[in-house]
Amino acid sequence: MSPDSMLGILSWKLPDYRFRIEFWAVLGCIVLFTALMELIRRGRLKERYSLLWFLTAGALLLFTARRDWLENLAQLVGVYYPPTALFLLLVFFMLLILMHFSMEISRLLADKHTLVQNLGILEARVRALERTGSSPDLEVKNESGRDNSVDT
Amino acid sequence: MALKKQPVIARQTTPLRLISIKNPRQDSAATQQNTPSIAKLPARAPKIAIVIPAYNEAKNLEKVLDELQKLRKARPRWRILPIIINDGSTDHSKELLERVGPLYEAYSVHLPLNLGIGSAVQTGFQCAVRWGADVTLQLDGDGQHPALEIPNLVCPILAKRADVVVGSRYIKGAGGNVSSSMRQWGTYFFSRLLKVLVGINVRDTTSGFRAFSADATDFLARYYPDDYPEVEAYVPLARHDFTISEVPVKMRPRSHGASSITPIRSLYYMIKVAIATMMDTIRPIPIRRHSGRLQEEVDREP
Repeated sequence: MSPDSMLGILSWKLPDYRFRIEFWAVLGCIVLFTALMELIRRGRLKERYSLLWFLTAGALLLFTARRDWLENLAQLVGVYYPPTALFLLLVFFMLLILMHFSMEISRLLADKHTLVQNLGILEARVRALERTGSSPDLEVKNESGRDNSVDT
Repeated sequence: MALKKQPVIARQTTPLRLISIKNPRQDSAATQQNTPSIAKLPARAPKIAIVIPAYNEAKNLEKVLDELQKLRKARPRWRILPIIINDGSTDHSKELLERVGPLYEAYSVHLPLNLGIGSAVQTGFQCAVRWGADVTLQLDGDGQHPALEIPNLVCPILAKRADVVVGSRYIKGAGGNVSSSMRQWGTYFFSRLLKVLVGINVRDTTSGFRAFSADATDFLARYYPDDYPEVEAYVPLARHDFTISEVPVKMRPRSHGASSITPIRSLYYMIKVAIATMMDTIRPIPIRRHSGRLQEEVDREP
């Protein structure tokens, strides 16, 4: 049983076998573009985070539409079957996106630490203020330079 | 890879070298001898901040605070401020600290989320800098570190003979809680690694019982590694030529709870720490300031 006959009724709608990968790639790109546009429109995705996604979809679309470019790319990287180069491209962009995510997570984590630290310190100072009425129990160091002599 | 530069320490009175203090008794005697020029100035009570990171340590906290109270009695000239950083504990640490903190004249900071030991200790350093502490000491909230050993760590810093003093389990004169061979091996490995990377001699690299000078505290308040602070913190400190020395201490076994280290985990831990430590040698770090001033200003002085 060949894959074509398995597809049955669906297969008559599909383009010629040689261009089927392009067909799916273009379809995928259109779906991706629509989803991205919709997410941005609803405010579910920030523009700054969508840039890499648009680049991915754009590159995929470009190399699908221009078969000759894809063939050149395949030749350049030593891939015999050009559509495989499309996957290579996709993997490359996926790696970029993942790395971007890791960077953002690290940044957010560092920001969170700073925020929580400051929140804790501020809360302690507010508590001290509430208790004493006037001055917090951690006096601020005078800016003119401390007396460095200490009694041991 | 060694990034050791020529020391640019402006304040030192005696040539600073990596020193290992053998006998704490001699040490306090030496302290008296080394400060004749300072003795002329009107002396004030030294401010000692004791940073205690605590995550679900309600059972041990009161005991630790009790010991610090004993230290206050033993050293009445010192102004001791325990700074307890409640690192998002899920037990009743917060309520306990609200109740007993003022009785012990302790300052407590409650972090709304658990940030891990590195960030918790850094919060304590930030408070210590605000307070204007002369010496900041890090003490674990689980009661492993004996508070009565604190003067041995603090005195070399007050005498300006070191910027960082590490309470060590492995140098001559130490004893008490001898940790597992696996941990000892790992500690030795990190010790060699630090020697190779930044040229410093620290035997007990995983000790969390450390004291820092005002300058070192100011630096660490701005830059403290989150992930594996015990080992990693030495790299930026050594890169800024802070003087590091070790004193022997007797540590106790944990009184409550258990350490979560297993052989496989500790191997994984060692690899992670080694990578992080190596990265620290090439990472940009903030400048070192001198008593609240910028290092450049200090360098410009005649």
